[in-house]
Amino acid sequence: MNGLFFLASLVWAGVIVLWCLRNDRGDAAGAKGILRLNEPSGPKK
Amino acid sequence: MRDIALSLFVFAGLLVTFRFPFAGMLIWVLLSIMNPHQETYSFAQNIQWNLIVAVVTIASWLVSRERKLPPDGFTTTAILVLLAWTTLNTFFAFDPAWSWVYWNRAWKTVAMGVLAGILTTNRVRFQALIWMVALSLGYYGIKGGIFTLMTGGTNRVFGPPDSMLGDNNQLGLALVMVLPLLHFLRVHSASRWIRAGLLFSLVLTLAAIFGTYSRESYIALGAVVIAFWLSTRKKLRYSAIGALVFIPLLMLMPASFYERAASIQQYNTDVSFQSRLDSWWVAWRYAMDHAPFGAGFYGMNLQGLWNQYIPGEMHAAHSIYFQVLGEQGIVGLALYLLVLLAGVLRLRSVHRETRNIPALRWEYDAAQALWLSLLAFCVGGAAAPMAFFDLLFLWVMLSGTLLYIARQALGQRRDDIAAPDTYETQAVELPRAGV
Repeated sequence: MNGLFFLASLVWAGVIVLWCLRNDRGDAAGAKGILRLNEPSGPKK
Repeated sequence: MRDIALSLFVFAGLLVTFRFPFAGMLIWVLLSIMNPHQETYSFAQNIQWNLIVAVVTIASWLVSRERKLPPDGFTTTAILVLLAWTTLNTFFAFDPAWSWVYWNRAWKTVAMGVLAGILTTNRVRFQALIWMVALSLGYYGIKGGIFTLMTGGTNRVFGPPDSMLGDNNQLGLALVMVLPLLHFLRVHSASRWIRAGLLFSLVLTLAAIFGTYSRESYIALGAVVIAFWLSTRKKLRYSAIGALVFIPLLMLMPASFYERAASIQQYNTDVSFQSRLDSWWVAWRYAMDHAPFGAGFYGMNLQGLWNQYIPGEMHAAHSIYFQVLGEQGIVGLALYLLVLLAGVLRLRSVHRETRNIPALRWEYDAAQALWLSLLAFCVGGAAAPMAFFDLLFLWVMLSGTLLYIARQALGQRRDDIAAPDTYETQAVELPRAGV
């Protein structure tokens, strides 16, 4: 169980890195993917 | 299995880092704070992952088109002057050979913070960095929370060995520091599953904090809860949620937990507290006797030094302030306080400039989360020896970056507000001119 949790944490870290890579140079409000924000933020594009 | 998984993860991350240096920054933060190699059992334990990722990240950043200077010169200068002073001070340490070993750790901590300030250029990167810190500490929060609930809170929760979070007090304080981040991410996440997961992590982390039996963490938690409650507009709602979470958790904890918490009031007879007073007194005396220098990194942990003041005794500094005073001298403490103040002032500026602007709610809440996390560090750190904790330098540098991001958004917003007026005027006036 501990091992699975450790692996899940590494997978989640990978998800964060890939989400950032995919949405980089964008406004967080316009970011897509699982970690997207739920409300508008910053200037309107 | 864990060793192979960690190796593959870092290897894949390094490949991405060559193209995208910020990926290396995120992995560096994970390795520094979570210490995943301490959770492995074989060859991965002995590899200097941090150093490998740091070198590749710095190299790929240098050859990239990424920003080369941080947006906030003042906080960066304050941190670098503090690092320069600690370097000079180590030459005059009580035992320089002992202190250089810890200096070698400290400069990497500072470098990570400064590089994070430079590379965090937009909201997406900021959000990802907050996620990575939340994951790194939330890992121990969730594990510790489950352990506390399964054992009925009878056993203490500790962090990974041979790391800054190994001690129960230091882990407890770090977990209090991550609570505002979990709340921030929960409020600003769109996915219902992510929000539920973060709420679950928040409750388990709270249970883990109780399970550390760390009194300074309880005090820091109290300070964060009060500061949050005073700042929120939804006082009634959060009071009800707080009662729903705290009361069952407190009811679950055994009598030993209440005895531990109650001993905060018995500071004049408590042996642990008296030993802290001794360590503070020794730190003060050493700093005064050797002004402007101190005993160097972890010099306060040397028996030879203690024998000069209280022969036969020796305790860790147990306070970030007295630790810096004893180790880095009076000048080091002044610079350290300046770094803390710089971070707090930057966050207050973000608060002031984004208050009551719904479009900048994310910036306001991010500043609030960092401020509450820093508050926990300043309050709990008064009785915990973790002066050069990675999160301090990360938060101070990110406070300057956040102010930069907020001002950019404010400038853009002003342009957006001004621009439609111009078009409107033109749209109205042109037909008139035609008529």
